[in-house]
Amino acid sequence: MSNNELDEIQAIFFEECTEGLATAEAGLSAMASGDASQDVIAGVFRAVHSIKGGAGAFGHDALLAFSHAFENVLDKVRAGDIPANAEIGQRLLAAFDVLADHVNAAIGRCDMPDDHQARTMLDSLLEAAGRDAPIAEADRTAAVAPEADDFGFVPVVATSLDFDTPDGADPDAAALADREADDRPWIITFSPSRAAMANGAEPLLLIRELERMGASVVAADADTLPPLRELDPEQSYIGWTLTISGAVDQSEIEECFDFVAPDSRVEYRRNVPETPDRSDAVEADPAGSTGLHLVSDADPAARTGGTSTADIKAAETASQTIRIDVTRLDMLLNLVGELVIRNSILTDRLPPEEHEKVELPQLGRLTREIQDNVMSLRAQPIRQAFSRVPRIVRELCATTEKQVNLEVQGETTEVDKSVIEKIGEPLTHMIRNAIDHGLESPDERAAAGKNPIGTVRLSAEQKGARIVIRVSDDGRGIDRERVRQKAIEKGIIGADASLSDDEIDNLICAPGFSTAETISNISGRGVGMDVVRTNVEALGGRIDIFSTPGQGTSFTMVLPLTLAILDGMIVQLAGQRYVVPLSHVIESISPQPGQVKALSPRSEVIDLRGNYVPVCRVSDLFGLHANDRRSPEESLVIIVESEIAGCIGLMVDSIDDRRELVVKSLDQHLYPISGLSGATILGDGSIALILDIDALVSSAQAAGGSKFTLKGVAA
Amino acid sequence: MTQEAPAAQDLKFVTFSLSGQMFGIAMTALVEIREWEEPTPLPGVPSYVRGVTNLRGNVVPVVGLAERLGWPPSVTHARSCILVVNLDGKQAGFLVDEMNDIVSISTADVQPPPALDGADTSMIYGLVRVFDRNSDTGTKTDDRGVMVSLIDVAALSLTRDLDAAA
Repeated sequence: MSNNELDEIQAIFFEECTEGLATAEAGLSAMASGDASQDVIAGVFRAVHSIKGGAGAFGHDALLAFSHAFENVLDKVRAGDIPANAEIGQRLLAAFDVLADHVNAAIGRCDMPDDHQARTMLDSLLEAAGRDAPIAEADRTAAVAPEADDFGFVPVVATSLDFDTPDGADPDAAALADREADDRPWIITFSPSRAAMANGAEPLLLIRELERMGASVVAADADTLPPLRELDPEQSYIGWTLTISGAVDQSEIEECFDFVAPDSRVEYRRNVPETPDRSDAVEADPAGSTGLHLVSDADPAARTGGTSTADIKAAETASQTIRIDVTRLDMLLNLVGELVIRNSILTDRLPPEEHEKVELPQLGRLTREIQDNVMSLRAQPIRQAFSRVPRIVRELCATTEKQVNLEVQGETTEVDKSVIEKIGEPLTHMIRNAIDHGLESPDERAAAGKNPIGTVRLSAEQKGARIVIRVSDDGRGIDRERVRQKAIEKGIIGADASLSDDEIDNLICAPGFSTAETISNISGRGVGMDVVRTNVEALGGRIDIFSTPGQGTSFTMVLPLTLAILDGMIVQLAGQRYVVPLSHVIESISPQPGQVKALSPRSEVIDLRGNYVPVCRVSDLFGLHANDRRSPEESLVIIVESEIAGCIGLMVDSIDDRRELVVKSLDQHLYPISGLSGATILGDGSIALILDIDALVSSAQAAGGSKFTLKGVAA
Repeated sequence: MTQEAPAAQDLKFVTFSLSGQMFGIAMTALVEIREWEEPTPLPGVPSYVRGVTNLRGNVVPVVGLAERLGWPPSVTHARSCILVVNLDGKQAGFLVDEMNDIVSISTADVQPPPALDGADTSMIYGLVRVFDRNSDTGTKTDDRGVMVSLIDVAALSLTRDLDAAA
């Protein structure tokens, strides 16, 4: 296998690790907060186990050793030997953080963490669970990863066969048996199959692997070797017999053979036949489906039981995920869009009586289903980006000795994958800022009459073609006077500049404002805020800061969705179709005569059950057919709500449809157009523009004033 | 002729007419030629942006090239075309009156446009004489050939113009 392929496979493993970590963290958090159902624990165990398997396969020894120790504890928790209470949950979370560091170290993102403390903690947990000899110590020296990468069949087997090891199935029985038979050396016989050789397996590496664990080759069995002229060079004829110290755990030997092709012959047994029944070959898998003949002195019943659970688990793992390059999904989405369009063209061109004959409705339905499915593929819940936050909060709580209560909202907001990938860093910065600089120490908080436990709120929501992510704290707010002084000092603003509070708040994002030197001087914020802003702007978004002294600060990232799915109402306006995001729509009204009244020649209100709500004609705002004003009775009024300006009625000609749409950015060549947040392609191939309700409402209310206020000093 | 012209190269240009004049655009920048189809108009954009259209799932702006270059707007007819051009990896469509030909032009034959007071020629990077093979181009072809203005594709970028306007 080329290095390239190996890298790719390893990249997949790292992605799996990241997912596994997320699962494990969610589960442990649940445990820490008191919900420790069997499913939760099993989920955590599976996640850690997969990480261990992959770590072994790719030779990340430190990660392997740590995850192994972690797994052992989790296994005890699963078995009920360690209580799954909140306290244990907290301690496991701490260990989890170290595990995450190990994964990152393996990926190369950070240095190898010092896991000594966590290891000691895990070991003590194990001991407390009643095991006299913690397996961890032996493992740290002995558990060596099989160099499976050289065999070339890593990723598939890593998740399926890996579960076949008895330590996952019934470690107690196996361990107990081990304990009894510790001094009897193992005898291992191994002959690779033709398939293993065809897969590029190298028996030498495997033997070296075993040798590293202390094994030595006692015999090579060449009995089946045919005469030279009959020799098939691709066949495997030679078998080996090795001995290895009985102190080595059976599971470790099994791990070495994890990645051997299915029909290879592998046997291992204890040497000294004191208890003959134990050394008898017991076929763990009578059906021989895997062909891996395990000769084990573990209880056969436990083995079989273990195999069946492992099978179920393997099936679960297999159905979980497939990884696809995002650009391929995009291509697919575009193609499906084309398909939908062709489908509509077909519908238009064929006479209606032909439709049934050629089963056009069925084709249409299928096409729509494909489209729906493909669209849902790219969107991912933002939970993925949020999942790293609890850990950051935990760490900062520990280092700053502040108490923080993290509230997360809108985790299920679906965001395009590319956005999720890129907001991680800004998000981290913002959370760090909120805790490090925003929140006061518990004493200060108590002195200010606040709850000593600070609150950091993290929320996400989709607004039209934008995603709004907000990090807010209830801390001390921005010290505007100091920010101002610093900015003058740094020459960012003139000494006599008169700035509004908003402008001062935005100064902390100014490039050159936050340098290492200023961080300690600014009581408020400043760590890397220009980095945050640069990142957010690189995504085509903006960042808004809102601060109330003494009450807290909120940072709002408003990000465009390069591709998001929007539930929209399609309306007609002057012969064009526009989309009103359904999230803004409250109701639609067909006005009765006299219900819409003019306040002035250019402004109207609608009588909405006694409330007068301003009505704006979108056609006027956009300068469409101004001379062709429809009477309100011929129009529909859609009552929309926007966060900044409350309710307003939009007058449109008619409502066409309601459907899910793919939002396409208009900003590719054009600057953002006021009042539009994007465009979408309808089923017939035509384009409908998506209305930006917030902008429309504020422009309608500003009525000729400065329509859009620029946020951010660099604007 | 330019002095010390670098080694002359043959480049392929697509020629088309706009307001009765011949223009050329480098083949390498051209993505495709489409029939004219009324784009979806956009509010609040410069008048030369005719709107946006659906190019195989991408929303692509359509620009009236005549207006963009300062000529009176094109009147669309059956032979109007949209040239889809790649600008910095993004695509944009340009409305032209009629497609003409593909010609091979040697860089040595390209003259820079003369600097004229008050005339915006920033989007034209060169003039070249083409001896037309077609006789039905609508433009009288005589011995002297037809003058083709070569358009600087990079200068067509919409954001560039909007930047200048901002």
